[in-house]
Amino acid sequence: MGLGLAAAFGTALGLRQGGSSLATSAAGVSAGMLVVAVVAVPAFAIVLALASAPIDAFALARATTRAIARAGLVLGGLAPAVALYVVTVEDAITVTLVGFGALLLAGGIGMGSFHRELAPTLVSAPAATRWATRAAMLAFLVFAATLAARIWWIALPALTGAL
Amino acid sequence: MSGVDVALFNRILRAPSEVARDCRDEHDVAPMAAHALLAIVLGATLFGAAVGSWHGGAQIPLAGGKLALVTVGTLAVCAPAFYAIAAVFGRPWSLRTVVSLVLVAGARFSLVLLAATPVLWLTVNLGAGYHLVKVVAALAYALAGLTALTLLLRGLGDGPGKKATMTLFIGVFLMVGGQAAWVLRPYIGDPEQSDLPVLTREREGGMAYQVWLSVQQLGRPAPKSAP
Amino acid sequence: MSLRDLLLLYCVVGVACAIAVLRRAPATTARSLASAAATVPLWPLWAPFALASSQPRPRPPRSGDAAPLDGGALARIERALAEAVDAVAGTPMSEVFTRAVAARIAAEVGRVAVRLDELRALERRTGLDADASARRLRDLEAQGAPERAVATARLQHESLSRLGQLRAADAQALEELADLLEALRTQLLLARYAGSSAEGADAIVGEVWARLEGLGAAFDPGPERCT
Repeated sequence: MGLGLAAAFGTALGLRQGGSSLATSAAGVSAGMLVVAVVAVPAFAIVLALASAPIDAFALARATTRAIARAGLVLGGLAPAVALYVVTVEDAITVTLVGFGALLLAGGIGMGSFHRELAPTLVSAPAATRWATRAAMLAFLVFAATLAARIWWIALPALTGAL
Repeated sequence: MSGVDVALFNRILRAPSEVARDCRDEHDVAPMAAHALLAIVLGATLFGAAVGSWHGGAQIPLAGGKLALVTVGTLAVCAPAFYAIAAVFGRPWSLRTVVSLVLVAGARFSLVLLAATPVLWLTVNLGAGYHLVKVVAALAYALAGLTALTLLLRGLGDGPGKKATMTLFIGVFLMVGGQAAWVLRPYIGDPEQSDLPVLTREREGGMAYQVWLSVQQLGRPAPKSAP
Repeated sequence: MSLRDLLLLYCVVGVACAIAVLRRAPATTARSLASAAATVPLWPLWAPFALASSQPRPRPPRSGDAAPLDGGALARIERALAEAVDAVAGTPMSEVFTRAVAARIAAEVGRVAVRLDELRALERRTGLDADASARRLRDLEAQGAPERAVATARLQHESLSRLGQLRAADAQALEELADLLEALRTQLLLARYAGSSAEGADAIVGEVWARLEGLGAAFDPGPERCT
């Protein structure tokens, strides 16, 4: 559901150029989230295992799906507003600011959800494990944000046209 | 809607907490939504007509219609965003709850605009200049926005994420409302143009920039003399 | 894609929603036509209400429901009763559905509605919330709180969930009763204008009484069940 709603947001972004960019933008926005889930989360799971963190694969998968669902919901909700901007503003920089602003907001909410979902499981862990896991979590969130931003940068020409 | 229930408008103005609770409980929301839509269209149209009366002629119905369109359009575009924001910040309400809250807040907004309409009309009638009319209209909008905000705040109830939800609501509403209004301008009309276009296509900065420009122009002589 | 294309798409969705509203309406009346007409331009704001109010069957109750929809059900029951009484007036079928029977049904439904309202008012006053109690329970468990505190929080959550389920189930029962009375009204109208037998109506009246007794039992446990 989250990926579908993210695709709706991508379609709204693609309205600026129309045609095939409707599909490519839809795929691009979803791809940013999907790649984080498929590439970054498994890597994070390995790091967590090394740190002996009390977080199993099931909890990680649940946190990931919830984060994607929340981020997707926000993007889906903002899609009509973004569509209005995309088709009515003359200058490309406004579209870039609005589009990246929405992606940033959704990404932040998704990452916040991921963190909140996993944080309680660390309460009972030893202090050293807790600190190692927190550091790994911080590194993961930075990496996930960078990875998603890079994919969106490549896959969404409607956003980068003004830059 | 079998008839207009004036008591409902009274409740929206006098008992925002009660109305917001009814929206959350989905208690009789359909008639409330119908009345709210009526209030939104009526209030925005009349206020818009008063704004357009500065230029006169065809601008009166045009500005009225456009302002109603802007208000309804903004709420329609914002409703899905509000639904999503409320859900991710701990308020997983139904779409009907969110839309009814948005509509009653919009109705409160429009009813305040309706109250401000005679004031604006009198300002125009007394021969106020273009920039003063613009600032009075902006002030009326700000006041109406504040009253709508109080209803939304009560609608959100207590609980975590209230500030974030409200901040995002306001941000989205201002961005969408500003752009929708910008697309459908002019409302008052440029004093230097005798024949106003239905829609302006030129770039003129932005809405915030134009309001700021009008504040700066307040001290200067009005371009239109008193009748 | 231009704004015109986007508006065209908006109108296409609006027309589709309007058709859905008309198709879901029990009969094509001026009211349903007006609702469908309003849906075309206002579908993001009006469709959630127009489609819900004409739904043949409400969704089943869920434990997390914020509030039942008995306000709408009560209005439907009152309307169906009045129309049923009108339908049998001056015909032999008035023996099947007398004014006295309608008055007794209305009184029973009113009694149930008052109790439901009292229950909801109690929940509002005391701020009882199953979601909040669930969060509290989760937090306590996550923090490794003492077992006694967790057990108290669990008991509170289970009681609140049960209360919510009861309330939602009774609201659902009222909705079903409204459906049944609307079916009765239609049956009586059919019998009046098509000259068919009122046997079907008789069976529905029996079913209505059975449902009312069920509702009454849920609220009036009686002294023997209070021990």
